[in-house]
Amino acid sequence: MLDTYRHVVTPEGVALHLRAAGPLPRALAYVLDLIARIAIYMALYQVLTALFGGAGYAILMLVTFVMSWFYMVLFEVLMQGRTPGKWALGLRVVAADGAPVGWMASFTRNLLRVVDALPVGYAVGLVTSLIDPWGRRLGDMVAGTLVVHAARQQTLYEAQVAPALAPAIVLLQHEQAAVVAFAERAPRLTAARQAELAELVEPLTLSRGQAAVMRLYGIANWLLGRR
Amino acid sequence: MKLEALTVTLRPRTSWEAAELGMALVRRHAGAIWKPWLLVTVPILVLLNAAGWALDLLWLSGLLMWWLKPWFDRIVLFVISRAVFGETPGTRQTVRAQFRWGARWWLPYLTWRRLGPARSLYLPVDLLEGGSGSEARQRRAALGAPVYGMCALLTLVCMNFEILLVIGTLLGAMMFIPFDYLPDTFKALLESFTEQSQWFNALLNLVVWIAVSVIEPFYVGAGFGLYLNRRTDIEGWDIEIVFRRLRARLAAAAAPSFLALCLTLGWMADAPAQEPSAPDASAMQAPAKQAPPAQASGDDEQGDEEAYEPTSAPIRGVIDGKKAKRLPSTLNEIYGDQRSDDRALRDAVAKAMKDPTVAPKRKQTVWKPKHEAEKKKKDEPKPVDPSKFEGLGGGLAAFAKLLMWGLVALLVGVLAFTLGRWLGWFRGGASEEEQAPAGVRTAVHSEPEPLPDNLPTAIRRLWQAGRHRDALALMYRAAVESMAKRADIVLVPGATEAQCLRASRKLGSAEEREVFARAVRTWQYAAYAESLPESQDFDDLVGQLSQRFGWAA
Repeated sequence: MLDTYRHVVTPEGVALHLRAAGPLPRALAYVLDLIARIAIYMALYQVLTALFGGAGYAILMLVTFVMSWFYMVLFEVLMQGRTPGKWALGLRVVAADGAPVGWMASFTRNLLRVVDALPVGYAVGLVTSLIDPWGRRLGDMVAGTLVVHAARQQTLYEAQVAPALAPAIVLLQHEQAAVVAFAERAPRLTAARQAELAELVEPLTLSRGQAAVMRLYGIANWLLGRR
Repeated sequence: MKLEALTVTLRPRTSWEAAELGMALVRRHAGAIWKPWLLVTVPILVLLNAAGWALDLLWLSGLLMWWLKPWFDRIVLFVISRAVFGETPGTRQTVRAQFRWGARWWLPYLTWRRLGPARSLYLPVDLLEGGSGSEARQRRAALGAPVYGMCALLTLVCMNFEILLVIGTLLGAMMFIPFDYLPDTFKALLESFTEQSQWFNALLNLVVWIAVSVIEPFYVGAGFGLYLNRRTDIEGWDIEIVFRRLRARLAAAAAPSFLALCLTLGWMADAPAQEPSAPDASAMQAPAKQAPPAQASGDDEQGDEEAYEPTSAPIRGVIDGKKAKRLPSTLNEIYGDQRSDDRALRDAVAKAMKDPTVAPKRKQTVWKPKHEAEKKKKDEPKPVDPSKFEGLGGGLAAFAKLLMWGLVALLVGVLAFTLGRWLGWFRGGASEEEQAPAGVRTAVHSEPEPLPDNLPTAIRRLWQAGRHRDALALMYRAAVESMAKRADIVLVPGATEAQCLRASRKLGSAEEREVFARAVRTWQYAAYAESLPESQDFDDLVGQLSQRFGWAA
């Protein structure tokens, strides 16, 4: 089965699913960071030239140097792998095994932007991240990092409340999950579709139409322990 | 449409992740997509450009190639929409399909829909669902409305990617031009650009085609991913797949045990569905077997919990680290007078360092003529001559330059010298390709075998067979168990030797404590220092142990 996450097993035997991010959101995140930096430069230019006159340019040069090399690194290491742009797009940089990204890895991946940016505007990085199954650019491959979709606070839907009903048949784990998912999501489907889905498991509900939907809700409530 | 045959994992995703899924799909079926893509687009590219060259309208050829993009998109869509159900079409099949497939939609997509920002999402809606006019409009609205902005963003980003690749290809090619020729080349290129020369336009068309060929399949794939996600969202496709499989499983299971099912259905109102069930269907074929009353299973759980709960542990707990530190060390208890303190060694080292022959000091006195010493004092500041400073400045600059280069050389030298040390950092980063552990061991630890009945004989037999460590291990294990039984305590699982010793303080007689301490010490010497006891000593120890702890002699 094709999926978009990277499967990592920790030494404790916990399977992690790192939802790798491809070039589309990453490019947008980069553009946002770029805009943020340009805004900072412009503000600094105004302030520094007003305060120090000609010497302000020298300071601005120094600040530009620091910003261009450390903006990404500092944010990535100190803000759980998120620059402001990545934060806006819900992305995070993590090590390839899901651990938080360290100074060394972050510096490596940002140093190699020089290579990825060749010949202009990250063309090399774009092509590599299109080819790589985890959407990594060269810097990520060398530093052993990965950009992932961070888990967002999602709107959770409460499962429909109904009188609990024990299923007549022992359900496997993923089937239980599907029944609960049905109870959570079916209220947002059309009535016809609800019935159609519920009738698929007629051997379980032993009824049809709206009654089947209600019985499935009941089973889900039983599975959720609402007794 | 057979949803069970789906080859991708469906679940509600965010829009970006849905696009990610579509792009992964394109990557997976790259061969099936790009081969027909090349077969179809290259002839059209060549034809259009040849015609443009002949008519001196090469800009129009480029525009037409770009305008035809929705028509080319169908190649990608045809492949991935079938591959997603596990029927990846062959190259020939795909190419042939391009002449007929979705003919009804060519006109809208090449005219008034050409510039629509949500093309990547609407194309699968129209081409795959194939509804009539108003029906298709409703479908587009239902599927597209919440993600329209996302689609527009997707189109915008992909457009920029294409522009980026065009410029990147041109500049990348220029990187291979020797530096001396660069100004001339730039001039020639600028002239060709302003004059709109034939070859330059043809080249541009080619480069644009390359960029489009790289990006467009991913664009279509991302749109298709969004489409799948929308349908999952509003139709519950992921639920439907599981339900269909569940139905198939139940149907298969029902056939042989239909009667049993009928019989048990009446009594099974409380069947425990949440019991950890084996994932194989065979276990499900006999539902009657799996119907212990729910109450019983609940009791079981309770029983388990009690078993795991540490009942009483009178010895030092592992958790309260602060308290543990305050307790006296057990080292002296174990090693007794044999424990050698290293203070003597440290004293000896300090003493040796004080020896004047190790770090000798010398005072040297030198005579100097008197007048030289006076001359120095007399030197008066002379008027400053700026011309001297020029030489000095130049010298200083040269020196600083030398120093700087020296530093650079030093730095390079140090880097080269420490190559082995820091290269690993990068390698260490890149080593993540290593295989993840194939399977996680989930089996519980096997219970240690029960102690043999006749302990001393068993231990001595092991010792005589040359398996000294095994013999010692058995001796230690037996000693700990006997001690725990004697002292009437329960040791925590994995108790350390020190914990056992501390626990042994509860033993009644001093002899028992002593012989247990001796057993622990012997075991520790063997386990941690690899120094085995003499055969005679060991024999004696086993004898004492069996005497004190009442092992069968």
